[in-house]
Order: sequence, then structure tokens, then C-alpha cells
Amino acid sequence: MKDELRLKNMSLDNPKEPSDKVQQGLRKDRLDVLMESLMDTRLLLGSSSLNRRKHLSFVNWVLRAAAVTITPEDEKSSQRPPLNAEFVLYLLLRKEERDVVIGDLIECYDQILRRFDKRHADIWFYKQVIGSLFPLIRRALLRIGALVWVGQILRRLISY
Amino acid sequence: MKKPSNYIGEFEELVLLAILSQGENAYGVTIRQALEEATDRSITIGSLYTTLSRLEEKGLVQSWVGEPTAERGGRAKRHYKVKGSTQCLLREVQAARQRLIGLESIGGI
Repeated sequence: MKDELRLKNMSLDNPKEPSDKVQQGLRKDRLDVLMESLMDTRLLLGSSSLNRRKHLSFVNWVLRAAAVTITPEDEKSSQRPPLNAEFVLYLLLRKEERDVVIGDLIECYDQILRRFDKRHADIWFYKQVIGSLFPLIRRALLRIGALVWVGQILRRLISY
Repeated sequence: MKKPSNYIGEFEELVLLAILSQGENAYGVTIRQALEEATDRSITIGSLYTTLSRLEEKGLVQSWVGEPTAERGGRAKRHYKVKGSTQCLLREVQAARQRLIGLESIGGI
């Protein structure tokens, strides 16, 4: 009982413990699930030959691992648009356009994410990128074509 | 036939009108939304930006980069404004269209 209280205090109230990050990053329901699993772990360890200090250090380790794996930053990064689709745009866009275009897409992506869910937002993002391929590739090809044409004219002028 | 320098295509004209409709708040997202609402068709961001960069190369619009915002992942907006001379060009195009519609109605009779 004393250990249970100590464990709860460690994870929820004591800001100096590693669980402080967990407290900040996790919602209450997720924290409850984590606490339950830790209690189970504690019971398992109680029947083993480990002493109390080792047991607590193990629980600390689990809490630290949870703090590293589930933080607000990670939750946020899982809400990002698909990185591979973003990279395709990055390759095709001009340097000065990249930030602006991707910023516009992220703004719309967030609106769809709030209204629907991540899957729908991802589908919308892919649709935008696939639809943008043709105009962007055509623009790049036209530029290459224009450069080749200028090159041919220059070569003719030089040869005369 | 060679296109005159002030030639504007159908989509370019729509984009110019969308920029005008948005006033000071004309940037990629708002222009695209205005176009989609007005034309009832899906506009991809790539086609919009290729058109905007072409309009800028033609000297029909001017743009400037705003402040980065958190909702855009720290990325800045590019605002667009239609130049005064372009507004005259748009009026000319629309007047030409009206004249042609007038001729068509006469021919129809």
C-alpha cells in the first residue's frame, strides 16, 4: 500500500521525478492505463526475488521510457502530413516557393484534421500532391525545353 | 499565332479575380478557396502556384512574404495583389467579352 502511494505520488505529483513529462504529455485516461500496467508489473516483480529498491528502479525506468515515447511533441509529429508526399513537393517546387506552398498545405491539412480525422487529412494531402505533379513537372520541362532551345541558337551563332 | 504580351488565359483571369475578391487577405489558401467556391471545381495547390508565378513573371501581380505563423508550422504566407494596370486589362477583357456576347445575340436573331 505504501509502495502504491509512493508510486502514484512519483508519477503524478512530484515534478522532479521523470514522470513529470508523462504528466505533461499524457491525457488522464492514458495515464491511468499506464499506472494500471505498472501496478501489474509491480505485482509480478513482488513475487520474484528482486528486492524493493530494484523493483522501484525498474518502475522508474518504465516511467522514463514512457515519458520518452509519449510526449506532446510526438503526438504533434504524428499529426503531421505524410512526409514522403511533402518530400515530392519539396523536390518539384522552386526554392522560394517551398515554404509558402507547404505552409498553405499544412494550414488546410490542420483544418481537415480538426473537422474529420488523420486518414481523411492524409488522403486530401496525397490528392493535392498527385494533382500538383502535372503542372509542376510541365513547368520544369518547359524551362528545360527553353534552355535547350536557347542553347541550340547559341551553338548555331557560335558556329557561323 | 503569337500571343500578345498582355494575353491572359481563362484560369489566369479567374485567379486575378479571386485575388481581387480577397483584397488584403489574398494568399494561397484564401485564393484557392475562393476559386473552388466560385467555379465549383477542385483546384490543386500546384496548379494555383504555377499560375501565380506565371502572372508574377508577366508583371500582372505583385507578391510579398508575410510573417511566419504557428498554425502553418512556422512557415510564412505569400500575399498577392493585383496591379492597377492589370485591373484595366481585366476590364478590357470583360468589355471584349460583353461585345462578343452582344454580337452573338445579334447573330442568333
